[in-house]
Amino acid sequence: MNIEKYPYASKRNHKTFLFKSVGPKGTIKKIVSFRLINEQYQNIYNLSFGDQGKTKSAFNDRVVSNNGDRTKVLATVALTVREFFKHFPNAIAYMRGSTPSRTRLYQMEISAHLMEIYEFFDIYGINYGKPEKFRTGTNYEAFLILLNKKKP
Amino acid sequence: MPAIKKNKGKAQTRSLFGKPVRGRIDKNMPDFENDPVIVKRAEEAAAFFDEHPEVIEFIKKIQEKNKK
Repeated sequence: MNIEKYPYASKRNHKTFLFKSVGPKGTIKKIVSFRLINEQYQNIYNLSFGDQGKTKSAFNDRVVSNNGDRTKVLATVALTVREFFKHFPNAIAYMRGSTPSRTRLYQMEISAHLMEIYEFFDIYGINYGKPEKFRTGTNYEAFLILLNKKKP
Repeated sequence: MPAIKKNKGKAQTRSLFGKPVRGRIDKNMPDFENDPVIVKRAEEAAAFFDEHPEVIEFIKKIQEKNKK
């Protein structure tokens, strides 16, 4: 059985993705953005996820949507991560929630699908500045995602 | 007496990547890459890596390992 996902659109550069969450609060535009951290840290992209704000280009990663579709939304974000890595196979995505509770939510979702995630990605958790292979039951402050190139 | 089927109780996890949804290109999508919040988050990430060079060393080791 597959988790439902929303159809998404991306910019031609495959670094920005947009999809629409549909639920009791209405239709909310969701943005996933991969931005190169800076020239010093080559190939390391910061993954930002949030809502499109009131103006067309405004991004808000602090808003709580409560649109009743969290699993579907996060599964769609996971798909956009896969799409990004198709175009940037050597990239490293750095992911951290905009609040500690969101980081915890990401951690729970990663834990729930870890075996499947490992088929495509290598994922590491960072705790007090120390990275390690992601382990369920450990609290992390951020995550690193790389393409699993040893996939058969 | 009919044989009792053993229920191994294996958890059924729903697939995250199964049946992917096709994405499309939207030429008119705003460029969020330069949105102030997204820029700020990237700066925060850079500050984190500046503060924790051991994470960068770790990444370099993984990259080297992946090249082999």
